[in-house]
Amino acid sequence: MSAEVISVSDNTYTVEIAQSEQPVLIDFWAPWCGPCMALLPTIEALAAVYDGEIKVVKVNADECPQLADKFGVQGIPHLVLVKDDKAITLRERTRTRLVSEIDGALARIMHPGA
Amino acid sequence: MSGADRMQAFGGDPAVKARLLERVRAPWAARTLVPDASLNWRRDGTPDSLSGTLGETQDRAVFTERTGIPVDLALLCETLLAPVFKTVAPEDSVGGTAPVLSFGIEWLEAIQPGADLGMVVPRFALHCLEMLLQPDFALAPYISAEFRAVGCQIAALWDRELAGETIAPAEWRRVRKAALAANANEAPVWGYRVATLLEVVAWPLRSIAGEFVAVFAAFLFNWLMFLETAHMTEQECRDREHMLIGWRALAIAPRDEAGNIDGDPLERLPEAQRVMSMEHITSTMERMMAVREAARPAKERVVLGLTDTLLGLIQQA
Repeated sequence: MSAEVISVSDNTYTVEIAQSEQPVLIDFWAPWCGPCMALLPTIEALAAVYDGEIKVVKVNADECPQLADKFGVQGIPHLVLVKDDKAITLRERTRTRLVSEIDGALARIMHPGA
Repeated sequence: MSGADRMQAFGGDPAVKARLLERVRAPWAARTLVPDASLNWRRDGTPDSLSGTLGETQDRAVFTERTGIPVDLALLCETLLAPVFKTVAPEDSVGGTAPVLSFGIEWLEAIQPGADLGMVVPRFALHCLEMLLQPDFALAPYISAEFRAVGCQIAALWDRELAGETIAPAEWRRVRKAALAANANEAPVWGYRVATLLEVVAWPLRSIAGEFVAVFAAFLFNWLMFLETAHMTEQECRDREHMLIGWRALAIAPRDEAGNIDGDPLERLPEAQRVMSMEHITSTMERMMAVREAARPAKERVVLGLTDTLLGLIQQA
């Protein structure tokens, strides 16, 4: 369980997300949001599951309104899987179901014609 | 820091333990702290929680850094206290006729400075899994054969993990596939939370602490609510089941990008609608309070059993 969830801001978006060679899982959250805090251990666990395959980052939606706008965030927690210019919103909220959903989304992002 | 990382309770210093416990003794005895599944400390409009006050923080990482206690263990203790705290009258306060509330300080007293508590929550999860697989568990009749099989597979893999064996990821994937195929959303309504718990914990034991606490809270709430049915009429039991059906429909309903439910999931559930209506809730409130009061001893026995187990695990760490 050593994989890290990186905090990303409007300033570090380009380097950490837009230019990432790996797909990026973004967790939009805020410290006042109870469901976001409850989801945090799951996000940390996902970082370990996908260590080396997916970069897992969190974005404080209050502090980064531009990023929240860019990804159409209307409520939090909001999870989105990003690779290059493709973004898929994730709807599940447990590690077991998210892994199933992410594996499907990865297949669509990485092998769109398959 | 995850629950499984090495840490030292109270930094190994008895003076730190004494200082931190001093912060919570008086306000806990005075019932001004309210147990909660979040670290509540100086949040607007929310009473401070025991753990929030202990660490004087809302931040999970800061809590662990200051106390040397896994935050998931602290929140599990609060989860066990919360349902009883709400039903015990103030005159039955700590040290009086509500021994379960004394657990709020007992678990902290039981911690040896320097102890590594990282495996306490995982071992408690194993205890819960073994307990719910017993044929005499209260909700056993509502656990489907498929989910019982999933539970047995998880228990077997956890036992091998604790024995030092490395479990191949493919073995876990098979268990999770079976859990998803069993489909918690279609489990008998009283078994839904058990099925959800099994689905969530189908991972290596050392990795589940953070997610276990949240799913355990829902499981415990459901279990304690079931104990109330022993004091209900047949019609009231049916109404309670319709309420659970309604709650589940809301919980699993498809949502839009903003997290709002698409459509009305209760539209096809008129009985759920009826029992969830304000009119029904208001008209049955007095009777349900009497039911809760009648079930209180049984609920406290359940919680006391769990807190005793947890205290034992803390003392062994």
